[in-house]
Amino acid sequence: MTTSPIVSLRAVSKRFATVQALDGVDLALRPGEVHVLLGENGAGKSTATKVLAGLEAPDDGGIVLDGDPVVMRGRADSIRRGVGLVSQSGSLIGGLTLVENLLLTHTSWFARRSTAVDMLHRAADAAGITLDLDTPAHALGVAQRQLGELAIALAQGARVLLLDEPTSALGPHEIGGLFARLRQLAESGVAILFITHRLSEMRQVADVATVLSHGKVSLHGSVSETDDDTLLRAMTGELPPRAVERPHRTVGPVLLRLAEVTAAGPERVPLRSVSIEVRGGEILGVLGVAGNGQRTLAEVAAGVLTPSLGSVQTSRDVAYVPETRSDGLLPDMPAKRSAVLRRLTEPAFARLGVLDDRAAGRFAAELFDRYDVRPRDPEVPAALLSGGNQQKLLVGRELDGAPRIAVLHGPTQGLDVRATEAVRTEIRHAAEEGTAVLLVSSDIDEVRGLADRLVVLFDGRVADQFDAADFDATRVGRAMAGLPTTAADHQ
Amino acid sequence: MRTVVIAACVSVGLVIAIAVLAASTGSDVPVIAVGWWRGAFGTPYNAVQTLSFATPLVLVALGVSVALRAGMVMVGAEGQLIVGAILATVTLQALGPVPGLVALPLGAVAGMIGGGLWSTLSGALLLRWRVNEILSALLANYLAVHLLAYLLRTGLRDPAGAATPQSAPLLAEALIPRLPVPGRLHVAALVVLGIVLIALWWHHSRIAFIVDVHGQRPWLASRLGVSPASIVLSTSAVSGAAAGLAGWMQLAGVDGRLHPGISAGIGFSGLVVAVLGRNHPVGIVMAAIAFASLTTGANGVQIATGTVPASIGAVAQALLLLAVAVVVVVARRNVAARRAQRKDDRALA
Ligand SMILES: Nc1ncnc2c1ncn2[C@@H]1O[C@H](COP(=O)(O)OP(=O)(O)O)[C@@H](O)[C@H]1O
Ligand SMILES: [Mg+2]
Repeated sequence: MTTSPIVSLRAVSKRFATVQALDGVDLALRPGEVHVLLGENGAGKSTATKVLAGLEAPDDGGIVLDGDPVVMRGRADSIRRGVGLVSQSGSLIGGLTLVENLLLTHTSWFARRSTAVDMLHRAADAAGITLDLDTPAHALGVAQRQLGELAIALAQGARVLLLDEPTSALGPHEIGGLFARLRQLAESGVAILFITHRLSEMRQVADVATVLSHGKVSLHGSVSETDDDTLLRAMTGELPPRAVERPHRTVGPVLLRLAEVTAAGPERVPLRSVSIEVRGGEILGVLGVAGNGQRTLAEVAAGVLTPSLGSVQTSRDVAYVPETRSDGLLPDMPAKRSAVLRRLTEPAFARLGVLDDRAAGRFAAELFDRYDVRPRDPEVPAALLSGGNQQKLLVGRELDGAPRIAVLHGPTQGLDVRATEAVRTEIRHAAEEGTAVLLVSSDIDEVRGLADRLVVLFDGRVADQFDAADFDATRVGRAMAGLPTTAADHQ
Repeated sequence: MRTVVIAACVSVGLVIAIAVLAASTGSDVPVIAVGWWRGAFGTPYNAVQTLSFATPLVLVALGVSVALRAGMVMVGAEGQLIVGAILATVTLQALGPVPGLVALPLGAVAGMIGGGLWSTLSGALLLRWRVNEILSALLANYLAVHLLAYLLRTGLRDPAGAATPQSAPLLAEALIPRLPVPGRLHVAALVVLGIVLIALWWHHSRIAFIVDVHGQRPWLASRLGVSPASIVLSTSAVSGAAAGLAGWMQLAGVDGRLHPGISAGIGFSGLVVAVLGRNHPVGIVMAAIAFASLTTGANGVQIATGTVPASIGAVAQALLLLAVAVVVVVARRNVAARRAQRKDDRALA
């Protein structure tokens, strides 16, 4: 508390049309301190980081850097001033590798590839992460992309690191490693702002917390002196409902079956001879450190990717929530167009073959109501909804109308406490209606709380599988790390 | 609403392009403007000429826009038009003397089949081996030009003709009748008008939206039961057929015989028009007329000034493309943002 902040927001306000995203927000980032920013979806967290990074200009108030008021003129300016950003939506250029993405932001006239490779290697080592520097960004998993952005920020010489939900796509193993490095970076004098929805994570790494609610700071204090209930109340104004007990469900026939499937997907690790079965009314959870074949498995199960070997029994109308939410939306079109996509061929949505946009709008408005997508306006282009609201729209569309099979990859990514609970309730509800659910998630607690059976993927293979009743954290940890787990393996 | 904005942009870009060029030659801008207007629309004959130049552009652009919506940048219209014209010529010559009621539809169908098959080639290469559609279409264009040159020196060469590589003239029955107007506008222009109306329906159809979805997120389209193969093949076939039909129209309605210059750059201009018209049928019609008016208007400019060459039209066309490409990109962003804001205000009001 004695050190003076490197950078701070002073009474910053920012309005988008009628949404007051930030309302007189004060936020000070001090060297050596990990500062966590909490708040529901749409509370203004991303907007605050964007203002700090010069991506949005405040309507009111200002930024103070090293004690002097400054105006951030765009991203290039903030990079030069030492502000690093790992944004929620990702800012890497998909067709370029990490090295090329770094070169792109170079401010000097001479950008040498070998220097950039060196810098990235050094930054990645300093942060304790292994990176694939030569694969185009779009082929990397979400986790690798975010870690890549972190390394790029460090290579740019950041003194301030803004991390917008960097852990939402990471597994516990990676999160642990990342946190250790963040602490080291903080001790070396970097100021870190960290956004998350998970309170347990916050307790592991953060020193101070600021809670935003509807654009206002509703709480600020030291992490060790604030308990969870206080934080949750500051975020939502109420306590979240308790998780319900898992009801006993009747299990039907096998609806989704992968037999000896080998497939090369967008990930670096292919799927190697994987067999799984999911019955109607059953939730199969898939765990694993990000990048061990989960995305390929999800794509094969959803029928998006054709395997090179093995057979797949699925249905054409499978509900699929892809890992990257924009893959399931039409970003530039009004959100109602995205909302109607699963039901588009129903007679209600066309008259004489002409798309009935009004009917689509009514359908979307109803969907927005049920899944609490904000703002309640189906005409807004999907890309302009906040990340959490895009996710609600996507999950709502896919789970709507009791699909036979649902493949859900990180369905609660980026959702706040309340929305997460709502989506989990929907998933349970779908299973009760007889849907076969394949739940891929890096959130162990989520999978454990929802799934009836679990599968652990390592290096594209099923490393272990067991009933949820037999859940054992050490066993899961070993399987995720690729270590032998069962007695049979020891013999 | 959008089309009005686009039309305004097109006209403004057009005026600016010509004014800049005019200033550079030292002629008076008003003189040039009046000359351009005379040449493009000033007399009934000139106006009809402009429409007749615009007709094949509309047809090709409508076809290209279908492929563009499916996410394919269709640069093969030039070759498709040529192959359409070749197949129409071959068919009509093989047919010999038959009544117009037979020759006209058969010629049209042959043109469409020729163009359609030629473009399906690119589509199939894309599907089977993921050959980039731009690359394969450019190669197919090249191939078509040489096929035409070869045939005009061998099988299709006019037996009565001199050294010029061209086919024998079509029989009178195979020629598309002119409309009773001054200028060279043929009856098939009415067919194009009908196609515009169909395109207008299609533009708002559910199928077209599914094609859009495929263009952006293929898996979402295939989940609706529309396979990527069917979309790629059908949209490339439709766009090729449109170009091939335009080829037959140039052959039987304008030139009367097959010759090396039959395509007259219409294939490439059609792509430009589709982009200028932003895939909307009405936008395409207006863009095609604006584009054609640069050619016809340039003649008027040359006559009015005496110093500015008619090739100013071609230069203006290129400049226009550049200007409008920028305008379109900027406008698209603004429109989306403004709309979001307006709706937001209303929702909370
Ligand atoms: N570019 C934008 N245009 C319009 N509204 C926006 C824009 N960016 C954010 N918003 C709105 O501002 C509010 C705060 O968004 P954001 O900062 O992304 O929230 P979060 O706390 O979930 O990161 C949301 O209601 C969001 O819809
Ligand atoms: Mg956010």
